[in-house]
Amino acid sequence: MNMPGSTTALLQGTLDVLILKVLALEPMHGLGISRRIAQVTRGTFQVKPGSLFPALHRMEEAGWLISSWGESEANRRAKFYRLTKVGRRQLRDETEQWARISSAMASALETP
Amino acid sequence: MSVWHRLKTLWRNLARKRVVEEELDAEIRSYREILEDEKMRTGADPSAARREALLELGGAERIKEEVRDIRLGGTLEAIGAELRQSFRGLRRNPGLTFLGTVMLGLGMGASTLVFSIFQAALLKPLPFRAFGEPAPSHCATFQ
Repeated sequence: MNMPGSTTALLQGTLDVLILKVLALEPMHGLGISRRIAQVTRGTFQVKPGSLFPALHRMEEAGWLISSWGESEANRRAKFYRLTKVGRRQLRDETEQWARISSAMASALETP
Repeated sequence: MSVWHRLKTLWRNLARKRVVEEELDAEIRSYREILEDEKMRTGADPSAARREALLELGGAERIKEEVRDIRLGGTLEAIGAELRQSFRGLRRNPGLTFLGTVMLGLGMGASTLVFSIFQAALLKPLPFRAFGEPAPSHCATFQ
């Protein structure tokens, strides 16, 4: 598994695409998003509220997400975020871009 | 991002600031409560859960500040705050404010005066008809 030191550094732009990705499945509240990101990246990315909330609000203002208040698991009121149509398109674009970047990086780093 | 969506967001952020702020506060509070529930499910007693949740959240005010910074219209808001603070500073120090105003007034008055003289003496043509044009041929000229 990963070293504790390697859990914090998030590449610029990574957080947005991860949030879009986990919200593509179902609407979630802040903590749910953070936990799901940790889960799908096998603990590599622990998103702190200090970066999560600004990102969520920025993405909502950009029209990628919309939020509404709802009931969480334990009857707590929570703000749930879900993707808009624009958000889905953004996810598709960014996924393609990441595929290009990661294959380019992989081939560059494998070259002896 | 559509212009309509931007305008709506900007209007909400500036005109209904109190609602936006209350909602942000409620959102962060709910995050903390769900975090506490999670800690208690894993066996922490309520006070420990509360402490751990607060620790993991980090300062709520700092988070709010960062959200405010990215908001649409956040720059306008910040400029407004700067202006208000400057005016308070001026009000606290009326002598200096008066002196500054008088200095600025004198400076502007003096420049205007000098330019008025310069314009009247050198730039404006003298008040004769067709001043600056060659004299018509029927006019007597000195040979």
